[in-house]
Amino acid sequence: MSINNEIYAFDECSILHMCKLVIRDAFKIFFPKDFIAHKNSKQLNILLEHLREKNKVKAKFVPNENFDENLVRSYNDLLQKQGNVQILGTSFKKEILEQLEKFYEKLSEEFIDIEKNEDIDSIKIFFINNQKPLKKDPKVPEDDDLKIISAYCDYNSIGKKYFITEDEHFWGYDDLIETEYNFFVIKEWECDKLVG
Amino acid sequence: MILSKDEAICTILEFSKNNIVTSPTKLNKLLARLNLDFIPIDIDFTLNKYGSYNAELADLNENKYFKVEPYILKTGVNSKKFILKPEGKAFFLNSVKPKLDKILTKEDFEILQNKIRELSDMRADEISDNEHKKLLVDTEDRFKLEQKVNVVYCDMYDLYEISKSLPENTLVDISLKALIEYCYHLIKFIKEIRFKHIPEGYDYEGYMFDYYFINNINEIIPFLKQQITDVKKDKIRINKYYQYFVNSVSERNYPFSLDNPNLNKLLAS
Repeated sequence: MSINNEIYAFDECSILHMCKLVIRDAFKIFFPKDFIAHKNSKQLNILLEHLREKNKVKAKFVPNENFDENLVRSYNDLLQKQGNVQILGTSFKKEILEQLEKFYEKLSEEFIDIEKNEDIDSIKIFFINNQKPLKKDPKVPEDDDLKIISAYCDYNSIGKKYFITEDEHFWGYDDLIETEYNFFVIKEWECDKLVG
Repeated sequence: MILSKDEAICTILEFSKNNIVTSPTKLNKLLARLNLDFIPIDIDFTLNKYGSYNAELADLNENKYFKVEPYILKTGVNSKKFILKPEGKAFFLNSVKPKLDKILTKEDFEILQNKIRELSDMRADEISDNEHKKLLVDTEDRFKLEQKVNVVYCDMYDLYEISKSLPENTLVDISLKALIEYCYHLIKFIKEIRFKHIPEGYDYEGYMFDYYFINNINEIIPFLKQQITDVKKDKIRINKYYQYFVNSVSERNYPFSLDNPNLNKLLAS
C-alpha cells in the first residue's frame, strides 16, 4: 500500500494517553478533578484534532499482542500522583482499564493498520552496534519496537512519515531512525508542534 | 455494560416463541428473569406477591421496535401482546447482540435463548413461582434466607482474603480480583445493612436486587474458586459477572453503587 500524503503513526501507549477518563461518583472524593488525563494528553489531542480537520492519515501498528500490558502500563502512568483510591481499589482499576479499552477500540476505527514486520535480524544488529546510553533498560529497542521500525521503514509513502511516541527506545535513537529508517520520531510531549 | 429498557425488551421478544410475548405480566417476569442469568438491564424490580414487578412495564406503548396489540382472553379479560417488529429484529442484531457477545460465549448465548424460549411458553404464574423458590423471598423461607446470607458472606470473605495476594499482571487478572472484591463488599453490605433485620412478615417493601445479588453471588462462588486456581482464566464469564453486579443498579435506587458519591461512608460503617 502507498500513501500520497504525510502519515502520522502512533505508538499504542500514545493512543491510550489521549483518553480523558471519567471518574465514577463513588471515587471522585479521592481526586482533585472529575476526570483523569495523562500529562501529555493535551498535546496529543491538539495533534489529533488537527489531523482530523486536515483529513490526514493516522496509523497504528498491528498485531498488538502487548495490548494488555500497555493498558496496565498506561493505567500506572495515569494514576501517578493523581489521587489515592481508598475503597474498592481493584474495582476502580477495572473501571479505568475498561474505559481505556473502549476508548482505544472506538478511536482505532480512525486509524489505518500497518502490519509489524517480523524480519528484524539485521535491524537488531544495527541497534546493538550503535547502542546509546539511554536511561531505559535495555539500552536498545526491544523486539516489538524493532518490528515497528522495520514495518514503518518499508511502508510506502510519498509524503513524510511521523511516529509519535513516549518511548525512549524510539526518541533516544531519533537521529539514527531518521537517517537509516526514513521516518521522523516525535516525542509525545512535543507532538503539538507539528500543528502549524 | 447495561441493556436499556428497549434493548432488554427486544432481547426477550427476539428469544420468545414467534417473537411474541402474550401479556404484560409475562413480559415483566421474563425481563426480571434476565437477572438470574446475570444480564444487566436498566429496569428496576420490586417484590410483589407474584414475583418481581415493575409498574411501568404494564403501561408500555408501541414504539419503533415492537407492536402492542390488545386482545380478549377466552375468559373475557382484556390483555395485550407484544410483537417484535422487523426494526426491532434489526436493532437486536446490530446493537444488542454485539453487547451480549462481550458477556456471553456462543454456548451461553444459545442456553439463554433456549431458556427464554421455553419460559415464554409457560404461564406467568409458573415463571414467578420458580423465581420465588429460587430467591427465598417467601416468609416460610426466612430462615433459609438468613442462613444463605451468612454462608455466602463467609465464603466471600475467604475468597476476598485469598484474592489479596493474586497478581494484577493482565486485564483478566484484574477483572477477577475486582469481581471478588466487589462481591465481597456487596454481600457484606447486604448482610450488615440491608438484611440486618430481616422482616418476619412478607417483605412488601423489598427491592428485588437484594435477592438477586444474594442468589447470584452464591451461584458464582464455585466458579470464583476455580478461576483463582486456573491458569487460563475465563475472560468472558468473569466480565459478564462483573458487569452484572456493578451495573445492574444505580445510585438512584440502590446505595451500593459506584455512582453513589457517599459509597465510602457506607463501606466505612
